[in-house]
Amino acid sequence: MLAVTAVAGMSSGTEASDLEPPGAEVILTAKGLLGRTNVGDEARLDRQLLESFGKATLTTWTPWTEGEVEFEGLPLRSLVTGLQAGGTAMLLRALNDYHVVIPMSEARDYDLLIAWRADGVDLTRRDRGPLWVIYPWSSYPELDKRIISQRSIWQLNELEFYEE
Amino acid sequence: MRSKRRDLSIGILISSIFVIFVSIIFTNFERLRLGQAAFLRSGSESLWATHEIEVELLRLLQAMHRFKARDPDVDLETLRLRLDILWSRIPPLVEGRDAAPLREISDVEDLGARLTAALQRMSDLLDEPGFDADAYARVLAGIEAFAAPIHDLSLTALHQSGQGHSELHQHMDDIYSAIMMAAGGLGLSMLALVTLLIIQLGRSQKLLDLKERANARIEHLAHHDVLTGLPNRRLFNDRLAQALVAARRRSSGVGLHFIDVDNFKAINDTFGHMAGDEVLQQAARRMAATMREVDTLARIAGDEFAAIQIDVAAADGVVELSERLIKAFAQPFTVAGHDLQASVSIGSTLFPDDGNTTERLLSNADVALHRAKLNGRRQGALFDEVMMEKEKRRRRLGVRLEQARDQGELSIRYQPKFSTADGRLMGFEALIRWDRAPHFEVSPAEFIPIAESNGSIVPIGDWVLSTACRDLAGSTARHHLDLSLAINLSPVQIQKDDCFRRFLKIVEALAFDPHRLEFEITETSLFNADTSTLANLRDLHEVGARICLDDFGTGYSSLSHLQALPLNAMKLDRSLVARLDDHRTQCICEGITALGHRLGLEVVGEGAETEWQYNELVRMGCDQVQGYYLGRPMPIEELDGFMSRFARVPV
Repeated sequence: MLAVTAVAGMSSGTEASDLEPPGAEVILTAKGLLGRTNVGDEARLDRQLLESFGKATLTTWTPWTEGEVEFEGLPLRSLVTGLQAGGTAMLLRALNDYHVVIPMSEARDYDLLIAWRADGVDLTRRDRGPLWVIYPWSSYPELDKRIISQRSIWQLNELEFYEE
Repeated sequence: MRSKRRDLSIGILISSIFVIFVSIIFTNFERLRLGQAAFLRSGSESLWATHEIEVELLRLLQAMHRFKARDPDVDLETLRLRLDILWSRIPPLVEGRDAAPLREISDVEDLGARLTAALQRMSDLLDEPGFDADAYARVLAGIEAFAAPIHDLSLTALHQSGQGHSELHQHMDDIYSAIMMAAGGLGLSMLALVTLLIIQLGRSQKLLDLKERANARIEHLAHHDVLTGLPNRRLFNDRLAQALVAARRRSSGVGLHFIDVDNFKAINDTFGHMAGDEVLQQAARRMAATMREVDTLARIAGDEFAAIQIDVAAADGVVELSERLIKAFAQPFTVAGHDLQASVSIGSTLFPDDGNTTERLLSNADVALHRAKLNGRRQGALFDEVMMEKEKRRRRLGVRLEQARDQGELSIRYQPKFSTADGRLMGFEALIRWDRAPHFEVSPAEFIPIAESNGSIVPIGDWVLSTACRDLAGSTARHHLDLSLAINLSPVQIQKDDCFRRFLKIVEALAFDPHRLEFEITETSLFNADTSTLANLRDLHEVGARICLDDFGTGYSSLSHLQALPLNAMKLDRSLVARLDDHRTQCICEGITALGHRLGLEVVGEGAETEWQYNELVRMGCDQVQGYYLGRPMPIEELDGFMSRFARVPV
């Protein structure tokens, strides 16, 4: 009896309840090593689902804007927790097929934000939206390097978790 | 007859425009590729913005032309997407730091404003009901007019980034002549083609052929890796799917191999990216040479390759190729005058024995690759079910471990250490356990490697340090004892740039005297020690913490570590202590102890389980002893009781 309980207890960590299906336009598709999914083995997320994982603001300068900008969005870390995602890295893909890899450790060490608003205005495709990965440049001067600029992917629409 | 002739003229005209267009796209693609290579070397950030805008402009133009030609793959939504993407590339050019140098020498704001206006006209047109061909042509021409100025801007950025670099100027000259030659060649061929068409008055079959060839070239670019010329991940996926379809029909087997270049990052870091690229190119050639024409070698990511082996009868064949691939790395690579020794780890799996679907095979090969790496790299591993179970457990534990600390499932045990000189209790070593989850216990030997591989060892290590400092500060204050606290450090932790900074913050926040801290590091963590590891150890030593070399006498005991590091103590490994009744082991232990003392280090014997072993360690001159005989690792609740009973050695 004890053994049975132990097995059930262990699997509940990975095979948790599925996500709700998306109700509105899907703006981010997550795949790969996920604990929670809603369509096949993917998690298709609309704005409401994204907001259900968390919401935060981050004020920082960026290499492509003037002055500091207040971004609002979902902390990447909350997305990882919310989807019970595993793996050591994630591949992020943009609308124009630009893609880049962010190591999981970076998402753990820094407060990365998947932004959907800048200075109170929703990001459209023309403003590099609907989703833009923002690093806290203002708080961590060591982030001011090319590899980080390249990882700050805009027009993000797909994200895959995997083991390197 | 007249109307037929008119149709033909229109046909020729449209075809010529098409040819010119394809040529422009084509030359631009090649030039962009060269430009990109220069960009990677030059270090100018503004190049990125100009490169981006040029590519996206060409993509929009291509889409507009295809839309005009009624290409079913391009609808209004595609045009809107391309339009929005190009639009979004204007702000990075006209504001922000990256493109600032470019704005000083070129009127980018004006160009940006004009392009925005042209895009707004297109946007308005797309929103209107119906399709006004004339208006569309005007908008298209308006946007096309930006190709030249944006290309000039791209070159300006390139020149700017290359100022003072004669190599880059040379490269630019090469690009110019390449463009001139390509343009000349294209002009001539276009002339010949149009003449031919007029003479033959035939159908434009030849043009269609040309278009097909151009498409084939674009197709090739889309499916191959630029650096090595090998198929890329996309083509690899197609080939694998095809191989499985064919194998099912013929009832034959397919071998799949994932091949990772070991420690490729170290090659890049030590010899530079150019050398790294060269190694990848040479490695690709060597591996391809060991394979048959019918098989596929692909580059699927930076230092990751994959091989598809068709018509394999049994697992032997798969293992054989894997061994050949590993042997291909036996000879060093000669890059820029250096001999570099590289190696690969390979994970292999066989269809249909190990799995029936591509997903399954890919996951198998991944699992096997992971196993090959865990087994020490530079080797291959063939997938099997036991491996799969182990990997599943690893992943499950990995995911669960991320939450274990917050859920309060981790705990710390404290094992006492005693002085041999006067038998005093000297301090405790903090040992982590995952034992607080209901019906669930995982040994540190299993979960610590998992924590190291997914990085959660860093937050867990911080938690151990702060919890242990807090625990011990409370207990020792109550007993008026000045005891030391030993913390084990993983290589992953000390490699972090900010390791020292974080530790200091934790210790200072708790007002714990760093002189009472001792950090235990294993020799393996020094094996690949980089500059941040050494800097962290020096900084910790500087603020008064002691550094102790753990498990000495096993593994790669290297005397050079003893000389290069800021050490205070070394620990005789428990495996040596367990075999003290063997004469040779005894000699080794005596030798290590003497060596440690000559170097001015304290020597700690660990794993003393019997009175005899304890006495032997005392006789040899160990300064401190730790082990079950003197005290087991105990939870915090038992610390107070232990301290009041055993301020001295309990014998």
